[in-house]
Amino acid sequence: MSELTHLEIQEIYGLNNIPVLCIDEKGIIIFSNRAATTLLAADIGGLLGRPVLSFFYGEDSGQAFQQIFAGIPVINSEVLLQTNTGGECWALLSCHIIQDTDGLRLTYLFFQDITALKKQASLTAQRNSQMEQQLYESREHQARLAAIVSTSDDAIVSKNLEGIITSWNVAAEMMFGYSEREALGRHISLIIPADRLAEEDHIIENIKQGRQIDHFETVRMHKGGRLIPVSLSISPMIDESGVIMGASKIARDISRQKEYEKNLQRYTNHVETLNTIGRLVSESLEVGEILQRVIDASTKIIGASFGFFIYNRPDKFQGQALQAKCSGISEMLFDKLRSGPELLLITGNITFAEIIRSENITNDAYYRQNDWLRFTFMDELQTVSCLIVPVISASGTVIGRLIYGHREECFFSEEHEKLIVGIATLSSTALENANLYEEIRSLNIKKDEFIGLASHELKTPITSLKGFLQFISMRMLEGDVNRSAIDRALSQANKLSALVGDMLDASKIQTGQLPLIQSPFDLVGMIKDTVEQIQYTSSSHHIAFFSEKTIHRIIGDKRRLEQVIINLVNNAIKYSPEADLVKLFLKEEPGYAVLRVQDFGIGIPEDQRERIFSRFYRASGIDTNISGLGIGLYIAKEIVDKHYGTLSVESELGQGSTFTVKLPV
Amino acid sequence: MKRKIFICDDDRNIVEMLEMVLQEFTDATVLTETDSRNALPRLRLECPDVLIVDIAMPVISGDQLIQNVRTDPTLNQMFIVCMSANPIGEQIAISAGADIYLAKPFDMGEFLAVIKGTAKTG
Repeated sequence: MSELTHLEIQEIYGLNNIPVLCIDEKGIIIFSNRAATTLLAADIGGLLGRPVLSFFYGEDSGQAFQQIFAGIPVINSEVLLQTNTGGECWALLSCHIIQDTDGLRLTYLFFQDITALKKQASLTAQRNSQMEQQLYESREHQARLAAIVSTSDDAIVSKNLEGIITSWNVAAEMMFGYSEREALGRHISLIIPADRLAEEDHIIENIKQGRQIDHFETVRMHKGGRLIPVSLSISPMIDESGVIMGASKIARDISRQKEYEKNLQRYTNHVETLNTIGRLVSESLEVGEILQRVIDASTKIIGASFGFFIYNRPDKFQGQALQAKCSGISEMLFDKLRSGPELLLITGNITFAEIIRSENITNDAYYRQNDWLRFTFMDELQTVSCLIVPVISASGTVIGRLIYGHREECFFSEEHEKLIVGIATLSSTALENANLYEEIRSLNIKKDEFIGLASHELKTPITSLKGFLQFISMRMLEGDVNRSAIDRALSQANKLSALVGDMLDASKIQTGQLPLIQSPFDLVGMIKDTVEQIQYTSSSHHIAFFSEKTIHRIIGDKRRLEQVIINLVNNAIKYSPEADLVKLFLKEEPGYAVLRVQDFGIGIPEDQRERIFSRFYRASGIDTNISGLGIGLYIAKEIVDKHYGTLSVESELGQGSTFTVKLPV
Repeated sequence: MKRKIFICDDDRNIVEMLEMVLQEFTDATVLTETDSRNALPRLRLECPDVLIVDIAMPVISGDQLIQNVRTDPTLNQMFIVCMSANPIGEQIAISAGADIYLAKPFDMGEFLAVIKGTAKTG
């Protein structure tokens, strides 16, 4: 080869597809083949005459050229070229140095384009580095996961599709009592209670189908056999190829949550029970009934074998102070207990304010020392468990005691005790209300008795007073100067007599003693007479009576019905001071005689219309000079009611009122 | 012969008032008694035509007296007017055997009408 001339060489390489350049001693390109122009992206003209160094850069390239310029050949030295268009390409450079015919040194440069290779290598390197990063991250991720799993409060367990446990965290060890070593490789039924084994089939079925199970509340079993309420979340585990290989499950111990729920439920029940009993006792105002209701309901609610309610009524009431009611015991046995000395002994120390909850009273020293107590609770009632709660009044006095017993030991819980204490408080309030009611009722009865007695006593002097006045009046001669005075005195005596009569009637109605003396009489005639009688004493109003002629006789208390008409007409006059007319209409309606008494007075406000028939009610917001006891309508209504009739009112303010009496015929 | 009317009431005012009225407006002989314990012996002695008697009296009540009169064969023809302030006086009076009842306070016109009526029936 050394013998080939430059031209010969050029001819050989001209068509070669290996890029070849030839440079002179100064590094100027003097030859390029086609492959080289392609490599450097320049035409021949652009290459020839240019210093070859303008296409090289990079440290490695520099070193290679210093060697070449020093006349030392290089073989497969890696160089980085910059193409004419600014691109980069990697090449392996070898050279061949010759002396030309003029003795000048020519250097042939042979390039092998390794850009593609280089790029591949670079890509691989990059990929490797990425993979390393990913691996690192994944390890870190796993470490993190592992940390979470190991420190989680929730038990995290994985299993394969056969149900074999494949992982078991610390929390699982704590929750279920099995160590990781004990659990791994065992079937998951290890922690499933026997009666819930079927759940596992259902879970596995879901997992196989790739379905997740969220917050499934169930029960799992501790190594020691204790049942643990848990909430399970189970997800399928899928491998890289997407195949379901098992399940991971997170079990949360919800004992505390369940406990809260149970407490809440218990509290709700407690409140509901108290409500029910509260309603029961508030429906009654009779002491005996309250005692019975309380003891029946409470004995049933706490499930006691029997219950007593002993109540010591405050001394201010007459009659038997000590009352007792029972539940769950036969009347015969209760009577025996009640009549014997036992109850007296139980209640003898009624002010004892402590709560007694005994798991077994036969172990109780106090019980053993007291024969009576042993007799009462053991021989007759076979009591073992016992709960005794005092009933305390608002003023702090023990007014009674609730006593419950059961034949089993340790029957009464703290819960029972709390409930009964609540019931005792309710009972105390109800009993105090009942006592107040009783007090009011007895005062009311006394008042009615007093009014009855007083008006009866008043009637006797009125009788003689009226008699004497009438005697004088009857003996008076025509034109006597004292006539007017005596007549007025007589009129006032009559008024007094009527008032006393009304008072007595009202008190009799209240005590249910208003008697009716019934006989047939002429209704039209009676009304006519009564109207005449009222007209005789009333000069301010004209009283007009219109009647259908069909009504003749009805059966009733003539004097009492007269009183109804007198009361209604007098009211009509009293409450129409500006008017001068009162109208009465008597009509027959099927089965009834209907009398309407119409006035043209002040009327009755709507909100008072119902109340005007009640005792001592007087129309409010009107002229206070209108006198009366407020019992006229009350008496009238009572009389009409006793005749199985009705008394009603229609009214318009400022226009007047119409009272309607309907009496059966 | 003058009719005899016997009044028995523990209230002296009533007794004297009725006595005045009867003496003024009738021609009857009027006898009075305020202690019911004396009533029955005096009635047996006097044999009046009409007895006017109150119910509420101490020791022997009016209805008791009426019953005694009604069961006494010498007195059972007597016309008895019973008067009372008791709301159920009428029932008591009639069931004891009174002929007529007057609720206190009564009207003198009514009273005289009743007394004069006894003269016609008697």
